[in-house]
Amino acid sequence: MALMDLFREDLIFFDIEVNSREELLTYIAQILETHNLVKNSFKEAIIAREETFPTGLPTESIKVAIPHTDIKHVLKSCITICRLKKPIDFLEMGNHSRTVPVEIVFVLALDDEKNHLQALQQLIGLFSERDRMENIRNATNQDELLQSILQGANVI
Amino acid sequence: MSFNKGRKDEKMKTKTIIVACGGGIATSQTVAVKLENLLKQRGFGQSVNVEAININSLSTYLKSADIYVSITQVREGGYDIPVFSGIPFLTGIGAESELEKIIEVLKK
Repeated sequence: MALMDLFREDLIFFDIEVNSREELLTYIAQILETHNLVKNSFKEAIIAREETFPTGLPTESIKVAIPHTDIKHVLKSCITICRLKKPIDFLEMGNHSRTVPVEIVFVLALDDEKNHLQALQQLIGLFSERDRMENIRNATNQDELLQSILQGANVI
Repeated sequence: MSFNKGRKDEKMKTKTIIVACGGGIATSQTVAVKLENLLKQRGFGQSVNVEAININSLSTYLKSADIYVSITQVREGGYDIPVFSGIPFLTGIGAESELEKIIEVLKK
């Protein structure tokens, strides 16, 4: 499945105002559940997983997090994009004693272990590209934001 | 005859790098592919095997692997094999220097 196919315009959120990662994940999980994209076990699983195996990434420019959980909680693969109004702290992947002030969260709901590898490569390749990350932060609508992500998304 | 011998020698030199994350899905797979591609570019395509694993099977894999690339918190006391961070391959920061360190070990 191509990266483009994992996004949906109704799963791109601007200026989300939350106080914690748990609040954010609860909010997104409920939306995904309403759309029948995840099972009702997804919410608890992704919150618990984020505490045990944090996903905050200390990238060079805009900090991101990629919360995800086991495939068994997912009904249909999708990636939700959340641009936060103010950064919230995520624990750093690989070093739980540090936090990362995250501005953009990509909630990965994946139903297959191998099928999305290329899409994830492309998404992660984006994190180290300052210009494209800035474009994502400055995008004024869903379409503009998606274009910033997908432009040149062949870099592995 | 000599061809076969050469093949055998090459096979014997193959080193295994394991990449582990919490679920063995998104992050470890991504880092494994990225690392494999970088190593191929540096001429280690044939001699290195990069595997993404679930952290729950780590102790089993540690027995046979040569290098452990970690994406989760590393336990205190360390491991018997060299450990490197997989995070630079996700963020792009310090990826080059982490790759060099891994290559140093592969050359041994």
